[in-house]
Amino acid sequence: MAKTILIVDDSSSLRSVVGTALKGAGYDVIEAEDGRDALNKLNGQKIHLIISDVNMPNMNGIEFLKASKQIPAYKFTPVIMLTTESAEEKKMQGQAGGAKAWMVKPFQPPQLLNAVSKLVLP
Amino acid sequence: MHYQYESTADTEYMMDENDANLHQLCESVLPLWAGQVEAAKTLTNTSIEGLSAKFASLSQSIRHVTSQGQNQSTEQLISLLQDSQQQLTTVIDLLKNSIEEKKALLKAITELSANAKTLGNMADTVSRISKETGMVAVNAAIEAARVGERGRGFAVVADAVKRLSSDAGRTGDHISETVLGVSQAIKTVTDISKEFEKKDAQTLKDAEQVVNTVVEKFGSAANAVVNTSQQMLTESTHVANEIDQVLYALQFQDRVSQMLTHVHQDISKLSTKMHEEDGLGDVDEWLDSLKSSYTMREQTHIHEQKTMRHSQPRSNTSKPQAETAPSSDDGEITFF
Repeated sequence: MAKTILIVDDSSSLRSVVGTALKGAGYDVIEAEDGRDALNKLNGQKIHLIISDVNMPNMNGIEFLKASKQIPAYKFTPVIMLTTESAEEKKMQGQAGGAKAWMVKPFQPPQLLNAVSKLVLP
Repeated sequence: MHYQYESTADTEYMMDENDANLHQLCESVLPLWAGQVEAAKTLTNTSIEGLSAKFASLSQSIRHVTSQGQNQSTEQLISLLQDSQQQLTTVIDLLKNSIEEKKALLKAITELSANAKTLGNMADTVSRISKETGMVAVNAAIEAARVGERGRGFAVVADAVKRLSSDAGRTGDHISETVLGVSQAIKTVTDISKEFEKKDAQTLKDAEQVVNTVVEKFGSAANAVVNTSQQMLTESTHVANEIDQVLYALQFQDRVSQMLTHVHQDISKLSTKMHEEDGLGDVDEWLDSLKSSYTMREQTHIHEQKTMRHSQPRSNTSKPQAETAPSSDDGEITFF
């Protein structure tokens, strides 16, 4: 059975790029346009990995990361932060919030797939 | 045009007037700039998102076709070719079996011909015995006549033997004729069968040749289809990879959008501050605040370049610096 990955990004083009790469590798994909939308979509279903942007309206990626870790079903779901942010200070915020990896945009799909394959839940 | 001001009061008056004009201009123009920047950002976002969605859809379709459709059809074609070859070989085998059965039948008929010859010999023997018995009967009749009345009974026996000899002779002749007829019939069947055997051998040879030719042609055609399919697969994979590169390149929109957002926010902030009594505040504080809002290294790089130019006069001999620096962080990943 295909594994499910939640993509959270306010840019639909970025969601398309990430989604295309993941679907091509055999993953199922759920898309959310910001942190708040993503929390609504975490409705108890099994999510094997989350890929989230940082700078988004309504609820940013760091806030969403912290909020998702408060939900028992997603406490151990690995999260990759995929963002244009490359400042160490921001990365530390991500690490403190429970992210497993920090990837700087723009990315090459193979780089992302490599990271996903390392982190996705069995 | 140069103005010569006679006194400090005049100079101050002119500066106040300039400030007022600048303030008025900013009040009018800043919302316009903010609106134009926001419109440019929205237009870029909408266009790039549409493009990205189309390219993503194309990439997905091509990958779907390359991963399933062509491989499947190629496998089906190869399987069909193998099945057809096997079925045609089965037909040839059936033909061979039929010919072998005919050969066995011909062999049995040939053996029957040998038996008919034996029967003919036996019929000749019967005729010879009949003739000899006839001669014995004639001699017995002569001897019976010579002894007179006492030989009458023997004469009756001799007569009976003579009749039997005649019957046996006719039967022998009849058997000979019948055996001759059967032998001729067998010879005719054998000749026809031998002719058929030759024709069958030729038919088998022709059939094998036709089947081999058909299978060979079909195989060549199938190989051509498989090769074309492989070529298409390679081309499709190449196109899909190219589209992936386009999708990668289109990620610039996210960066542009963030840059424009920061510019828009700063113009809006300036527009708001123009109306506040506190004024614009300290320039350095403003610049620090702007710098802290950046998310990308390029933004910080441009900021530092520009602020450096304002704080240090540019030398005429210095080379022009690049407005943007390539980000060395692209695709960089840090695992925690």
